[in-house]
Amino acid sequence: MRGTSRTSIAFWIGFVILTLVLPQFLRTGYLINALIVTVTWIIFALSFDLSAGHVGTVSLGHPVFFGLGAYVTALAAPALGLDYVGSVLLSMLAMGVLAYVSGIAFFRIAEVTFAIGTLGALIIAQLLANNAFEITGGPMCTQGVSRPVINLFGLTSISVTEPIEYYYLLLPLLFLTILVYRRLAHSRIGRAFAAVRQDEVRALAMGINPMRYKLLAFAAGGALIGALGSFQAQYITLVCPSELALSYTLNLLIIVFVGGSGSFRGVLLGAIIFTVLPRILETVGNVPPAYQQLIYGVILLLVIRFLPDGLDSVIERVLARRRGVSREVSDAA
Amino acid sequence: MPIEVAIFIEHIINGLTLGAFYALVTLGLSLIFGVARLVNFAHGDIFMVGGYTLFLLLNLSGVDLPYPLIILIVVVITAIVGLLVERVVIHPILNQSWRVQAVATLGISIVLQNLALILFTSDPKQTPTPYSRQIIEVMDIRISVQRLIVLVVVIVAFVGLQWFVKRTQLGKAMRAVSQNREMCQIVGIDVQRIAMLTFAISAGLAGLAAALMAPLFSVTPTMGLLITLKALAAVILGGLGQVNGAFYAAFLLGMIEALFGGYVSYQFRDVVSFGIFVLILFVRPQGLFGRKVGL
Amino acid sequence: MPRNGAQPLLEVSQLTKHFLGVTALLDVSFDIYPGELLSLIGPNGSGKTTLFNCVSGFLKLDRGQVRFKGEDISNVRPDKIALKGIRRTFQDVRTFQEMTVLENLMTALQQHQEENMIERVLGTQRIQQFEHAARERALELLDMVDLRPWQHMQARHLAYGQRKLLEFVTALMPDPDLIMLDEPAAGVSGEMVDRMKQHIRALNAQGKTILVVEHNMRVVMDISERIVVLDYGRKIAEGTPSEIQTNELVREAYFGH
Ligand SMILES: Nc1ncnc2c1ncn2[C@@H]1O[C@H](COP(=O)(O)OP(=O)(O)OP(=O)(O)O)[C@@H](O)[C@H]1O
Ligand SMILES: [Mg+2]
Repeated sequence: MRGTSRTSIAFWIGFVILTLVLPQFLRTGYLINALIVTVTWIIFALSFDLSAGHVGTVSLGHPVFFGLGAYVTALAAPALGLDYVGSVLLSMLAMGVLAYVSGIAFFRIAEVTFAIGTLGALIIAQLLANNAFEITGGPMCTQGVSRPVINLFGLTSISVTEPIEYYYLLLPLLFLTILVYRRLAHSRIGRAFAAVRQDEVRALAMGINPMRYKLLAFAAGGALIGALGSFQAQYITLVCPSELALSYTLNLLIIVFVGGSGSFRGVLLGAIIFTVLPRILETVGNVPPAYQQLIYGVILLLVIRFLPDGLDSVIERVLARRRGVSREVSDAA
Repeated sequence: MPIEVAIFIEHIINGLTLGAFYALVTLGLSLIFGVARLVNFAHGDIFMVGGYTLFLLLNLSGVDLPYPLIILIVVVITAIVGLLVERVVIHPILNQSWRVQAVATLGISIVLQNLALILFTSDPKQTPTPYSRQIIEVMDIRISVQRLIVLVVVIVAFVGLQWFVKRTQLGKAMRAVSQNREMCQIVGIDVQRIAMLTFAISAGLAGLAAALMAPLFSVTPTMGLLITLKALAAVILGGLGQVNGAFYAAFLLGMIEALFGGYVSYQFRDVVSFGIFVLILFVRPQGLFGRKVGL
Repeated sequence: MPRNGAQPLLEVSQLTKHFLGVTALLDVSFDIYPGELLSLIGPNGSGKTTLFNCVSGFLKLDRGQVRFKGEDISNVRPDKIALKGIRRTFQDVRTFQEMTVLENLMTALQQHQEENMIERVLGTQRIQQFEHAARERALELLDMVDLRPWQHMQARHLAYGQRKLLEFVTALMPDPDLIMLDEPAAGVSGEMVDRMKQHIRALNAQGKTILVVEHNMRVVMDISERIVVLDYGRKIAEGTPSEIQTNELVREAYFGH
């Protein structure tokens, strides 16, 4: 805030341009799909971090919004005759409302009990998806979700099939997520988030209603993840109960806590490491997924042990030192 | 005896064994919670480690170990795993926030699960003992001997644990630490050592549960999660770190599961037990800590 | 001290609070008038902090009533009470440890009545002006207690006495109508006690209404206009410092039975 300075404006312009032109350099569908995975996890993790990193309410149930968001699009959107934008908005709205309403109940329980309760809710949702064959197809999945179609004023419509088209379809959601994240986390609201995370009692004494901010972050995150689920359903054209798996939560924890919770840069870094590293391991060393997960688990434990604020804290320290040096220089001048 | 009655009694016995099994797992979880104020999300994964240890011991080529010895070895090995986990991961974060602790124990869970996946693949492994196929039939009621063993051993283990906590030096210290940690530090009880031993005991109990119960179903790398959650459900149902309460709640949970699974819907039995647990959370929002926002 | 018929700012009447078997407060009544500095004293465990918690909404009352500016605020949520213009500090100093000193102060102004959530998300011009004004005020307050050099340091790096000062100015940040201080001079050095005393006095001289709990009798007798004494949750005396000093019941409560 101190400087919505020239450097930060330059950074964002650069960021937008980079995301726009990046696929042009990645010729193959394989690489573009990899890029889509990276962006997906960035969106997912930023939305999760709003609650876990900023307000401090670590829910283990966030994949519910992803999976149900996908099911809503797969099952309800065709019945309503919605196109891509409509279906994404529908999932977004549905998951936003679900997050808000469930939040009212779940935020009555605090701290680790909240984590346990949301874990219970996730398992329930997954068991239901697995066993309600008639609706979800159970383990056989909901198949044949239609590919995205965008209606242009009822005149003409575009259908999307190529990876690169999918990428540009996902990009607006990335920008929206970043915008929401920045607006919430780096504003006066962000300070209230931090207050609630650090000391709820004192926050109350200052006139901050913790419930309100917990709900705000939870609902905003839930809505964004719901939209992401909708995209995913139309990208994979398949929705399975495994979209509601705890493994997603574990991935979120790895990304957010290895990168640095409560920090945009940290989460971005975490998501990129998490999605790019396996590609490298795969191509270079042919390391199978179980080994990769094992490596992540070990990295997570190491980071928690030795860098409790994540990798981002290292960057922060380096930057702070340079800033300190430059300040000294300017003071001397 | 009418067949309906026989089936009912079979369900009851199934419920009791399930309950006994949950009780063992739950005991370990609530011991750790009491002594270290820490919720161990990797507790079920220790069970899983016990399951694979059992699998290895049963398949040792050339050696035919007696089942009681196998049980003992499994318990010892899981206890050692628990000890290692405590030393390497838990110990340094004992005084950190619940957030860090939750993420760390979930990290342990990731590591253990994927180790198992690498070593044993995701194919379910059967661990039959000489007793799991053996059925006794009393007045139309058919019970596997393995289930009876589970019941007996769990009751013995519970009585033994009671004795241990009430009568032994270490047990008394454990109780003291869970009641008032600060005071114990002042009086010079080595809280660190107690926490370490509690972890070992807790893991050993999970191993015992695995050695007894795994023969009744199969072992997979990801089985730990549901077990952790069942145990957490029992801890919360049983009330605020009450070891005895959690013990009975575990039996209640097993019974509900067996009866609902037997008579209403087998697929949805877990949905019901977790549903009850989540509802209880809402009724008793203070949850494990018994601490609401306040002063 | 009823000042020429003015309405009391805070009216506490027949406040009663029990904890499992302990009667923390029993039928405690007193008023505070605008501009007054009232001290609440009593031996350890006599219910002073409990009374703070009841007035500021952190504890439900068992019986009795609290009125602020004539409005019944019994059992109203703490955040709402804070927004009505009562700010308090805590006996066991609470600052936001991971925030900088400046952010701690800025957070206290977070909930300004005039802004709404949408404006805040958008960060409108008005919000920016508001932020600017808030920063100015924060720096002013930091100057007052000589904490300005530490403004960008995280609160956890401050010394205990500095954290007490920080909590004190944080309570002043929104310019509340009633300031409640729970043992502002406890556990700090002699020099810091004097500084705290000066600050409280200066604040009162500017016309602020203040309710203080304090054990340091030198401070209490120096700054108070009026004193209420609690013992075992009951009000046993009320009066000016000199009246309290000579009160037999008070002597007994403090020095033996
Ligand atoms: N949350 C609580 N639960 C149970 N008992 C409590 C609680 N808070 C206070 N008490 C009891 O109520 C009584 C009054 O406590 P309180 O903290 O109000 O005293 P105090 O006057 O502030 O004491 P001190 O001078 O030590 O700060 C004490 O007996 C205390 O043990
Ligand atoms: Mg007090």
